[in-house]
Amino acid sequence: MAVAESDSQLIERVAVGDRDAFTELYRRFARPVLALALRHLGDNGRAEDAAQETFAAVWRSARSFHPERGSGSAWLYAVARHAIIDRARQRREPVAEVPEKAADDTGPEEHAELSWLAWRVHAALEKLPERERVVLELAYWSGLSQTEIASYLDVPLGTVKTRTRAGLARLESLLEEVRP
Amino acid sequence: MREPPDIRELVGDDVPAAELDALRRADALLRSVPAPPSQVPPQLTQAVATLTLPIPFWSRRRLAAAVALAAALSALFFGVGRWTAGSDVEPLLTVPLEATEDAPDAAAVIEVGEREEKSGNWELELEVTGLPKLPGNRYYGLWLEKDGEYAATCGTFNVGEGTTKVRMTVSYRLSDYDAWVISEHDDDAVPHLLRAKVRA
Repeated sequence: MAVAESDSQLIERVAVGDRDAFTELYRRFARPVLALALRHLGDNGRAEDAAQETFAAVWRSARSFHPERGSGSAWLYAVARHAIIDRARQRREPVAEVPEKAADDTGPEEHAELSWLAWRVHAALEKLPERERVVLELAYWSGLSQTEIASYLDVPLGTVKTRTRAGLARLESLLEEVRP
Repeated sequence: MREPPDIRELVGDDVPAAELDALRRADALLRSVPAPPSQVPPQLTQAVATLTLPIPFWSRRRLAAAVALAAALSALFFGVGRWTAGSDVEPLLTVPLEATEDAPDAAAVIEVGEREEKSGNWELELEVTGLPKLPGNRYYGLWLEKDGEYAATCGTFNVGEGTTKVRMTVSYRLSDYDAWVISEHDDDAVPHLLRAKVRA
């Protein structure tokens, strides 16, 4: 099985103008960026603008990424944070604080920890196979029971449980260093 | 909204204890964060997709050639005390800027007007082409550089399709500076896109 490229490798390819790498990076991070922007800006339009600015900055500034200084995911988080703050300042309205970093998982502010944790979890979800990701999202955030999920997806209940088990195992592996 | 059921119900009863412990960690993480957006709006995906689209080569060349021609005509008319058509600035000096490797298809000309005696301000008209339209609230800046560093700003601008003309007024003594520079206006260091020596 082909090993998926790391986020850092993708950013390094974007730095030399690789559009396919940029597309893959967008696929992985569009929802985490949008989720972060929505939480801090509050409305869909501004969140989408901030997300667009985030990816414009990624395309333009990928050369400034240095993998020895941190992970690709952390760099993208910083880029998104800047875009969200810029967008908030345009309206001169207070913005829910976007935590500056990423590196310190035990930051003083609970919301700062939550932002970073949510970013990591959402980004990891995007790396799961589609069938596992869908089952997990339905199980944790839709309010559906597993029987209802099985009916919704038109698969046996046992398949829902198997996919949930596989998805959780993969997620745990991807988030090995993150502990609640 | 209904809470997700216990991990045992989610994955079944036949999972070994060691594996179940690992699954519990992922389960706890998922319970601790809010849901991501259910989907990414198609308009966002389309907008982001256009970020990487190159400007058609032939049109960049044609526009660059048009600006180069305008610069040449401007310089010619300046020599005989005439004006380029449509320009409101009385050009004392015409400065063609040179594109750097970061914007190889861009071209720009600055027309520097007479210094107004009353106010001491200089009027400028910048004509630029071949720079990509920037998304969101990003914009370009025309700067004066001294000793390799940004020293003064002349103004900011956006670009549209084709050639963009921008009027600016500055109060600086141009001979105090070394170069004109166009770059993207940003807090972070950004590459120079076009530049020219100051010949005030």
